[in-house]
Amino acid sequence: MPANGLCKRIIPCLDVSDGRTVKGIKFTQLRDIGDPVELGALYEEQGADELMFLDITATHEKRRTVFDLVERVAHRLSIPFTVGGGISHLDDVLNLLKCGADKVSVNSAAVKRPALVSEIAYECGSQCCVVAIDARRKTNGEEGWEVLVQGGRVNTGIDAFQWAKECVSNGAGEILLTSWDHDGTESGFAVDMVRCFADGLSVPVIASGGAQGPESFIEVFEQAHADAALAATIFHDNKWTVGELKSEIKKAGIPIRTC
Amino acid sequence: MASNNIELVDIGGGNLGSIKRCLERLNVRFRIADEGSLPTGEHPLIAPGVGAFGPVMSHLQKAKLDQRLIAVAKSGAPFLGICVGLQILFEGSEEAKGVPGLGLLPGQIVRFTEGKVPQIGWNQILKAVHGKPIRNENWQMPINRLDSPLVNAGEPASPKSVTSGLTLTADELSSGYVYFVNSYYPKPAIEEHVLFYANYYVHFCAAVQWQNITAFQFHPEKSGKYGQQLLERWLADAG
Repeated sequence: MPANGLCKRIIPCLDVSDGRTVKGIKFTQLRDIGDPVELGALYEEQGADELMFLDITATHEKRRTVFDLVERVAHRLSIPFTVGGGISHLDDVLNLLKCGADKVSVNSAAVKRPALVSEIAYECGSQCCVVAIDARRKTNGEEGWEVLVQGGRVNTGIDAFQWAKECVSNGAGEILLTSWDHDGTESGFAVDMVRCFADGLSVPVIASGGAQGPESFIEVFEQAHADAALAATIFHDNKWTVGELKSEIKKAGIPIRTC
Repeated sequence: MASNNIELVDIGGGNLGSIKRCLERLNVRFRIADEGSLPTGEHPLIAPGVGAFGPVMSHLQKAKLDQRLIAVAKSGAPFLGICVGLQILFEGSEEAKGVPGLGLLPGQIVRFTEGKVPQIGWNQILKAVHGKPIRNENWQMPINRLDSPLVNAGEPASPKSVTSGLTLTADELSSGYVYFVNSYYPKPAIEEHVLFYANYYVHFCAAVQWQNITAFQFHPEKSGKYGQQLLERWLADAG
């Protein structure tokens, strides 16, 4: 066994709206392709290490659909899962955890009110507090990356690495780092950015944005030292099953859990 | 499996929900035992928990659960600790210096000193192959701690013949991947108490077993099929 047997994690991300899966329409083998619970169970069966449910429900009134969903997911799955999207109050967090979420992820609301991170960490523990950071290369010619909020629509001008450090000192247990330069491009992960964060922070970094084939995962683990990698499209479009992907990554000698 | 009747102890610190849902998935009957309804020792007991050693021990003392848990363990009832539910079985922890644990197992809880802490994620556990004991004498349960009068709800069940706890022979369950979230790990004083080892920059004890006591530092209820199989094996052995 290696000195560190901890495995790199593969985390499929499911976008849900009004309690239904938004993507993932190519899974014809599922009884209800729109049911996030069914899709989540399929990913677990394929060997997913964790799942991320991103609630993109547009209207506030329908937000409670996510609580029902979380309860159903928690009853069905036996791997950890995180819920994110629009979380801005400690009450939301407490309710989600009570319904069975293992972790919650906060994004724009934490930028608006950084104390949210410390509140969650204090009340619920750092282990369930993931801070999601959407970042892109700075556009003003400076080195580094800047934080975007509101689904990438608003540039805050905040230095993303400094922000991540602040979140960690406030109690964030993990950083989910999405590259807006790479997201949706299927051109591989943002290796430089992920390496900077993964090496410079004392908590695990989950790389997101740009996932392609196994090579992109091998690269982000070996060269960028990511602790985990998150992807949506490559799984939803059935290009790779989680199991196929993991067996390729394992062949490269990377510690990864196989079932 | 439905014949099981588990006493699921709320030791504070949360995470009762995930083990509850897991038992429901497995079709196992259980009741929640807490300060209002102390565990009796008549049924197998599970003590799960996420949280810090100090607050959990202080909750147990306030709820008079500490003495009761010691008595139940001593009675021979199958006893499963999970995460912090493992840590409290030992004598103390670096997380809360000076705060005594239940002292059912000799040894201390110590902090990882390398790598990112906490350890978060899946790690491979391997069944321990026992070497020489670190101490020669057999560990005795700390009798002095049992002299304290039990509070509330009568005496726990009288001692039964001691069950062997989890049986893991050289079979398919002797190694697998499980989910950890921990900054601390147990350092049993007696090597024979180690059930599983894992590696996180250090060769560490991931699970312990002694007589009727079994405990996992990882989360079997979040460890996919393998974790579920470990729990099912324990439940089957617990009877």
